[in-house]
Amino acid sequence: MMMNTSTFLTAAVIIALISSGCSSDSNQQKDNGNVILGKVELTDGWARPGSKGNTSGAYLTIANGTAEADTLRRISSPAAGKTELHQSYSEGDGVSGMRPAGPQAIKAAQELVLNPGGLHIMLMNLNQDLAVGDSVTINLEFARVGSQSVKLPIQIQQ
Amino acid sequence: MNRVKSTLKIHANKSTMKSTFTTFCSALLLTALLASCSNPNVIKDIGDSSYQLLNSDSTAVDFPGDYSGQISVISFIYTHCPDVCPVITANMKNIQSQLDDTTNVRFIEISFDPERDTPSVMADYKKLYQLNDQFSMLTGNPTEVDSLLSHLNIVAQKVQVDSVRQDSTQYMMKHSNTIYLMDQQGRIRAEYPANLVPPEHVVEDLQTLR
Repeated sequence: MMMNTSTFLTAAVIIALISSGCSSDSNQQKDNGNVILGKVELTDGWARPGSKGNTSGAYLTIANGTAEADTLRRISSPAAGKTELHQSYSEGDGVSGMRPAGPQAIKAAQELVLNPGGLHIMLMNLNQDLAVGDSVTINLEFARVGSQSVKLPIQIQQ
Repeated sequence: MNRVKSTLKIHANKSTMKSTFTTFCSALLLTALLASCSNPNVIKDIGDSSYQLLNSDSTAVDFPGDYSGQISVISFIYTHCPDVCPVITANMKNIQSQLDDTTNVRFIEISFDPERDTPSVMADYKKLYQLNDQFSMLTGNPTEVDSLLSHLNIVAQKVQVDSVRQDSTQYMMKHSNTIYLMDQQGRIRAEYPANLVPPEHVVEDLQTLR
């Protein structure tokens, strides 16, 4: 029985070491020094055109591929004087508007989708023109996995 | 006997006339009904109004007089709007692209933020969104634009953002989400939710106004 337990523990340690060794660096992110398996992925991103001094909107899908919830805390961009997450809304009388959305929690294995007419990134007071064919860098800061950057193409919605 | 025949003939003529009149009235009623089914009613007549606006090349525009004789698809935007307004512009382009013949059709986008949307800002928006010369991007004196918006029942209210409250130029707007179809006489004939209406619905109504 003692032998069996010892064998089991040894096997468990070996498996753990092998698993650790097999995990690519790209699937590991730091959480205050702790290793986080899985990653937050940023896909399907694009941003609207905008002229210098004006405003643009950006969209993407954030997939939390880690085992725990994370929170999108802040957004910034070198192309804008101010960057915020906003939510568009419609009222019953055909009136539309938008308001700041604040931090967004994303559960493990869940997605946060930013798309036209809903949640979107506001790029305010652009310090450069953004035309079709250009790209814009967006920095997203998460509570657990830290900062992630993504470069989005400038596109016109069809 | 002849008098009897004559009386009968008069009665017959009266009967025929009555029948013809009834048929004529029915046909008229039917025509009117059919016309009202296929042709949008007049929602508002602004044909006698005159608003002095500016195009994106800074030329003066008399609205709606300068568009008389053409069918106009009219929407309302502001260029600092990064989400809903570009969807409206995209829908306007889709309406344009779904028309087989765009002869005598104009696409007009009127700013409800004339303070920031100067003609040159509207020109930048037109260029960045690749809108062709069938599009008129209208702005103007804020009092004049506000008066037009009010006449057209378009709501536009400034909303200050807390995070940039110290900067009075950084505001958003709560606004109507509307596309109007205006006929050749300056009459508004149809109204749509601008970011949601399928382009083919507008195209279908537009064809009935030709």
